[in-house]
Amino acid sequence: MTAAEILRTLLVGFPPPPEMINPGYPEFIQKMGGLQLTLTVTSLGLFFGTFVGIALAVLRGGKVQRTGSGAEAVAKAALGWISLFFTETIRGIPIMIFVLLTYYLPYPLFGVRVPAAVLAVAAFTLYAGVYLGEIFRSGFRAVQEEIIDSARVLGLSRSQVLFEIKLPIALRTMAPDMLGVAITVFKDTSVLMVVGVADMSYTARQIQAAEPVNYLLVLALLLFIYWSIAFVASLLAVRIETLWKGDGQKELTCH
Amino acid sequence: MNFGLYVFSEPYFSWLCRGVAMTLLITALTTALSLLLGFFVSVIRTVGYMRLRWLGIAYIIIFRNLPPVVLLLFLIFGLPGLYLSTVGSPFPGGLEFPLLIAGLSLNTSAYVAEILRSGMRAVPAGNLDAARILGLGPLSTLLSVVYPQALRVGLPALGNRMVHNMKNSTMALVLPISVDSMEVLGQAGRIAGQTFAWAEPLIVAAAIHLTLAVVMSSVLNRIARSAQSKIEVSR
Repeated sequence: MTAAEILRTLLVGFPPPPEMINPGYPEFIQKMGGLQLTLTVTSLGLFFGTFVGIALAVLRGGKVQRTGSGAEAVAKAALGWISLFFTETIRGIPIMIFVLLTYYLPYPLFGVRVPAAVLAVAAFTLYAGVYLGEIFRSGFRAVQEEIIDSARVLGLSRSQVLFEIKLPIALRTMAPDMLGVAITVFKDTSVLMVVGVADMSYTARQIQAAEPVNYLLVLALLLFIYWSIAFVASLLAVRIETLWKGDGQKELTCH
Repeated sequence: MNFGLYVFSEPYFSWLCRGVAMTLLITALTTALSLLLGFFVSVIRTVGYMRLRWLGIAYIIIFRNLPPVVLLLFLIFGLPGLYLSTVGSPFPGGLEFPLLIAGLSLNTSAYVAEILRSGMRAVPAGNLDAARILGLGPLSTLLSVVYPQALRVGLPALGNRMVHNMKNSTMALVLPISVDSMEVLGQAGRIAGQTFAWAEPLIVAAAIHLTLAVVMSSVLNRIARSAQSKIEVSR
């Protein structure tokens, strides 16, 4: 293999044998490999994880929402505890063990055979979801009560307050942290090699096995690709932080 | 699924116990080494020589943006001629374990350096003037005035990193580590290799890690809080 071929394989992976593809599940993700799969698992995990995060944040709620009466308050408190328990459990388990659990548990528990790549997306959905949930919660808490009150007084409806007041303000404080979660998820997808998902690090080991001569080149390329993507994303996060956090402050004081 | 209690029978139980001990050992070694490395990097970042300062920044940028798994793969399988040179070296048991500690420490030390640096920022500038007036040199100012305060400020974050170190020790699974030095997850994998069932050993390994993480972070939080209250008193 030449250097160019090694690079190309790292980017798209080896084509999987056709008998490995389970027709009951999306095929595009099962045919992928290399960096392509790494980025797909990262972005799908973040996309679905956003909904999980919103759900967890809503269930936990703020102090304001906890004030209800009787059964409603009890139910809200119970849901909040469930959300907290879920979050702390997933945060306390190392991602390596979590990925292995999502890979090995579905069959003995439910008797279904799900492709490893689909389970990888599920694992990173939950993983990203709990971290995003915490960010959403603190982000929405950062919106000052006075701003919401004045918006309500001005006659804005609840959904208008949410989408035109709360969300834009919260998003500015949350964006750098959300990008931080994205970088973490991107870096942590490298543990998927232990469950045989053909992501970039697994592909690198495959190339190494096929062609032991170029082992240093393969690993150096692997290292460099992971590093450069994470580095560029972290520069972006710093840039957004300096640009938007100042902006948000200005807006808060003006209104 | 009926949960097999065989995981707690011999010899599996003693394997898991050994795994817990190795997890704690890896955590302790990694934390100590990363504190040391992070300390040096944060010192380098404050000195007057621009080149040294850039070296510190480059170190942080490089190691913060590398996934630990990939760094470990590079260290173990990438460094040329490693396997040939282990014979007759100070590490007759193979270099995997020392390189595991080194890789995890390199990763964490970049974060430690950042934590210490932001802790140093929290030290009031007046302290530096006071130290200079008292006749302290730059090094003794750093060691006896700045760092004790920076450490206290950074203690919660440093504790977090220690829990992270424990979680990261599971990355050893991608390396060909000898049976004796495997951590909890490695031992769980060893059990699974014997019984062909991953579910039970994995659940036990997850429960062990969860318990250790909860206990460790609550102890570290308590330590951090008492150190924080000392700052309040001293101000």
